[in-house]
Amino acid sequence: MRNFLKRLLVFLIIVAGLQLIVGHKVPSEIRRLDKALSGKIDILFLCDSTNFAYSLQDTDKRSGSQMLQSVIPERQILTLDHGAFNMDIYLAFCRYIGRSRNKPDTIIIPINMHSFSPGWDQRPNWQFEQERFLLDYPLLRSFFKPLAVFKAVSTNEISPDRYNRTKVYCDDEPVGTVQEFDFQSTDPNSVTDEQIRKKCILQYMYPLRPDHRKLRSMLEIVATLNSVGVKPLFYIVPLDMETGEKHLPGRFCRRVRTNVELVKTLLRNHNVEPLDLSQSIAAAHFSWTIYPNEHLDQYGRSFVANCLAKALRDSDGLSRPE
Amino acid sequence: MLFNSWQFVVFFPVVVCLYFSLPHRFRWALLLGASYFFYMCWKPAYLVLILISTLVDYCSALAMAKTSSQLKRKGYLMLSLCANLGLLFSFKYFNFFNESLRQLMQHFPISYDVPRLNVLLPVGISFYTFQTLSYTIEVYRGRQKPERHFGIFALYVSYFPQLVAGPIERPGTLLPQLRHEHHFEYGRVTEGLRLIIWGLFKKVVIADRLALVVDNVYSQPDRFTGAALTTATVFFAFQVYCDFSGYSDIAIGAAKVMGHRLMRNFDRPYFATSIADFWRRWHISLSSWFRDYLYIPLGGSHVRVRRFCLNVIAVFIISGLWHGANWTFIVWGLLHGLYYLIGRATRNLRGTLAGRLGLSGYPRFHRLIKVTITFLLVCFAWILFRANSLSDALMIVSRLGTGWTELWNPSGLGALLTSFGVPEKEFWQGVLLIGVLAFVERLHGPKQVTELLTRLNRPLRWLVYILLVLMILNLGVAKRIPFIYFQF
Repeated sequence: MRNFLKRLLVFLIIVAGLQLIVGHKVPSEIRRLDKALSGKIDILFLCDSTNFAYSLQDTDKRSGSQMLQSVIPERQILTLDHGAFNMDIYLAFCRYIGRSRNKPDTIIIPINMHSFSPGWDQRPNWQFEQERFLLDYPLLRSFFKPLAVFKAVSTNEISPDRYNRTKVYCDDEPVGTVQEFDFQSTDPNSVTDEQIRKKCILQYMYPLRPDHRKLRSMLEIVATLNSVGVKPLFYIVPLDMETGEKHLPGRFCRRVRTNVELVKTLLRNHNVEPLDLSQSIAAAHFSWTIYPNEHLDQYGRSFVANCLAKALRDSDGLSRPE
Repeated sequence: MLFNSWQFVVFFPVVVCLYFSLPHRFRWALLLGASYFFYMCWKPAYLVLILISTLVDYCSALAMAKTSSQLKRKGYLMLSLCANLGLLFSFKYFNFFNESLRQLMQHFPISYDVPRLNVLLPVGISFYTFQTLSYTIEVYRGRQKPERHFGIFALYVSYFPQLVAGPIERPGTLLPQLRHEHHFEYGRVTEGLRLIIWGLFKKVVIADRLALVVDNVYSQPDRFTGAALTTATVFFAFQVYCDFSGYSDIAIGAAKVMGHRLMRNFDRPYFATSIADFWRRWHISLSSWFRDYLYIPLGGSHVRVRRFCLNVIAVFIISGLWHGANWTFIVWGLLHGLYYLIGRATRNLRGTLAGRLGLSGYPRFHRLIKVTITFLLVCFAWILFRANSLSDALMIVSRLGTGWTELWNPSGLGALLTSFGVPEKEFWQGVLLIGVLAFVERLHGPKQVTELLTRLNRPLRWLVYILLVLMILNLGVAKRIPFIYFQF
């Protein structure tokens, strides 16, 4: 038996050693963050697709963070953006930064009101389980896949079935399930007004509650960054209020404003004043072609970048170099 | 507790270490406790069902042994059959028959409103029910002495490696092994571990990968062409094989580590040359159960032709029903019964035809043709097994001929692969793994795959172990895909 145990131990050591090598695959965002944190960065810009999406008519296709960098060239900005990033993954990034030796002075975090909707919050592929695990347990990075294969970590916290059965609300009224609202089309000409109305309901008309898990993540971000001396700069991303109001007259703006107010109140209770850009951009500067979303054209991205630059200058007394 | 879960990765070594550390007289208690714990990880309340089966069969067998009256013996056997099959019927089949009856009554002016039973199917109920039934039947037939040690008998009913998905063991082989003292033997333990690794590889790397395509296609079959449905069905043939034989390998391997030899459950079924041959190689423990306790008592082949045909059809339909309470399984069983009868009726004719075509001079080629035809017939039947309903199955069959011509243009294949809803890489990995499996099975022949490994020299053997484990860890599918046969 002793002989067996010795050989088993050798076998396990070899497998673990090889696993350390073959299993070490880290998403590019985390690799870039690791590299940046080994030096000095001033500002970390976390963002979803609203940072890099552009209009086909744009002559300037730079992302919002690149525009911001050009407005404040003296500050070094690291951007970590990815489609569907949200408060949960931002929290994992902030915790990770909190544990690292080098930290940025400021972290810019967008609050996308769409991200609290069931169509985003509950979407199975937008949970970033792997990224959150790799950030929360950096020492186990090589072992994520084995742990997932043996169900020690979940890679599908929300099943497609649960997602499809999630209730959709319009204000406080349940109007169906996600399955009935989450349709896709690739042809802008085939989209009807009713479909756009349904998309607006799914994405923005939910009644936001203070106990929403993404709001809890947001407040945890505040606490985490406060505890390590990093300034958070939250901004509420611009929404296409005109389109929403056109399809849900008298209701859309009221609902969105109520939800935005809740977010602002919660942050103010923690001494954080968010930058509210939710109603700052006209419909013409959104770049969506099929269903409404928060993607901006070059004017919109530039506007956001300038607003952020101003907020950064205001917060730390930076003067804009002429 | 799934075999491919971290809980089992912790549970099994702990049980094995305790097993070899304890004196022999306490081992049954350890294994019984571990088996009950293993089962209770799903739904603790359902342990009561196992305890009822255990108690009824233990007492029935002892009572049978005490009396010489054949009538009383038969009475005790009936008690055991009624209790076990009654539980199985209530939990597995009641709602199915109730619903079928309700639909039937809609055609008549009869009010029928027997409510549904709101119960979950207890995992593995068909397996342990059949295992414990084989005990009372064997005692009734006088081939098995009743087990007087309640703990050992309870362990026979609930032994954790094969509790929820077999192999369905016979009392004559398992009970003596549970009584016997097994020492730690290096060769046996490593052979058991080899089987566990191979079983895990088949389950998490092959079966679960193929399941990604199969589940996607079969969840909405009306959206797919015949080419896609055919591909998914062939994938399912290998998925269900790797899933179930993988489970069996892990079960046999786990038992072997502790010194218990379980029966082989699969013998390269897709190399079968006829449907009869397929059933000698597929789920052997169940096929032989039906043969010994249903087919032969019905008269087997020693009866008139019409009766023989009825016997065969009855056995296959019951076998189908054993798999699940759904018309799809019943028709699947019926189809296999028809395959079997037609195969038997045309045996001579096919032999003559092969001789006239000159195939007898090319035995390998002839064999290949037979294997291919058998495989296609089995795959066709798998449509019924996998489809969510009979209407889905019929719709799939009606669409099988569509979408093939599109494959000739370059974009057609791309469109087909995209329609599966998984990355192309995953699809091709699935195809490659099927090839690897077929190659390995061809290589090891009728022997166990572990014997193939023992023929290699140590460095090469270690290299294979390491590669297999690394593939399980890194190519395994993380999505939670339960073992298919757990639902039975």
